[in-house]
Amino acid sequence: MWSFSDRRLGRHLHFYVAIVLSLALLASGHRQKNLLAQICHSTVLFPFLYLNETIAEWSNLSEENRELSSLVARLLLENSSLKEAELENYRLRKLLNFVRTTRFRGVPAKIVGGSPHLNLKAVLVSVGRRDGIRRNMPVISSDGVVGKVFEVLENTAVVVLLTDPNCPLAVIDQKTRVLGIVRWRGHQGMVLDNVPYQESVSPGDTIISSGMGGVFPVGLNVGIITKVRSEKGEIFKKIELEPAVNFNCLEEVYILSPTKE
Amino acid sequence: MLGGGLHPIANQRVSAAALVLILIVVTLAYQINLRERIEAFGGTPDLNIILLVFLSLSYGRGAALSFGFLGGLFLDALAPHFLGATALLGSVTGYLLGSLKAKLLIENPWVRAGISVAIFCLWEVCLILLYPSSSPGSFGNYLGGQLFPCAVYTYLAALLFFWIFQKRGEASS
Repeated sequence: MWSFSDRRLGRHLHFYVAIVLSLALLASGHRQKNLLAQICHSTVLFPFLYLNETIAEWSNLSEENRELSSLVARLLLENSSLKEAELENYRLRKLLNFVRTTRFRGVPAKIVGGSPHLNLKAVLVSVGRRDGIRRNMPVISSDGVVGKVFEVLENTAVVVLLTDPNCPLAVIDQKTRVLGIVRWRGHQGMVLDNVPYQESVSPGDTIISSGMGGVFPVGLNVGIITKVRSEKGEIFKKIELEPAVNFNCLEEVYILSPTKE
Repeated sequence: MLGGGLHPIANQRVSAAALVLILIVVTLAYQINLRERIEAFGGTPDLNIILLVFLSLSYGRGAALSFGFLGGLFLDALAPHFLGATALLGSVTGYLLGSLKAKLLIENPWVRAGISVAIFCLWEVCLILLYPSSSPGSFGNYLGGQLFPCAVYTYLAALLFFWIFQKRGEASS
């Protein structure tokens, strides 16, 4: 039979046990504490700790993802700039190789603006009188003839393009050596004039500068024949050309200045 | 209801035991996974104490003692140096407060929240006394930078918890 004190002890037994256990844990050494903590970590606490690590990894991934996206954007921009630089390098090397083989000195120039004259198909370039540029100097690109210097200012110059109807050019068929005059004629584009009907020219023939006229040196690319027509009663052939230079995409040009030799 | 074929008292005990286990899981999940992420002005609410007060005043000393001891033990395992401290404080607090459940009959959420904050401050003092070498350097910085924000945060969280519990109780009755 339980006595009153036994019943009271029984009621508070759990409390006493909890207190004794807690005090025992408090009083235990570091080794015992660490051992018990390890047991708790690997059993009861393991799922929570694993979840915590996973959440931390996800948030790190998110941060890393943001940083990588930013890096990709920067690298894409850099890559684009480098590709542009590579293309420019190629064009200028090509131009430089041509200039070295002639008796001309090439002055590089960038296209900086459109024509200041409304009735002139021309562009503004970044070199002028102080760079030794003079009127009527030939202007070329890595692909061929562009035009000639029309007007010279101190730091800039106006270059009239071959697309201007008032900029004719004496040329020669590279294969057949037939002479002619290249002009730009409105909707027809680049045409080759003054080729007699009996002369032999064919589509695909390369047209180069003839050196006549005293402005352009011989051998500069002008264009390729695309169409040849001989009409009855006409003394000259009607010849259309595809220009060697894309006048809509001009960025750098060379102004040819004759060397002293 | 759990243990549907048991004696009503045994049924009640099984329900209380299940509730204690669930609340221990909740406390551990909060303490390990969530607490650091909801820090505001240097403070976080102490869910362990809030749930201990809840169990003490709603379910009595048995459930509160179990929760206080086991919950405290597992929380201490996260910082082995303090192993046993929270278990001791939880056991004593849960048992004493649970013993007063019949006499206090406190339903007001404001008062329950106030009790939670008082217990929180008392525990902090006890821990400083138990581990003086781990005390924060400047008491002023500790008071303003840690104790006060945690106390405020705990009070607000406890108030919300007990208010929701009261509304739920009113709705079910």
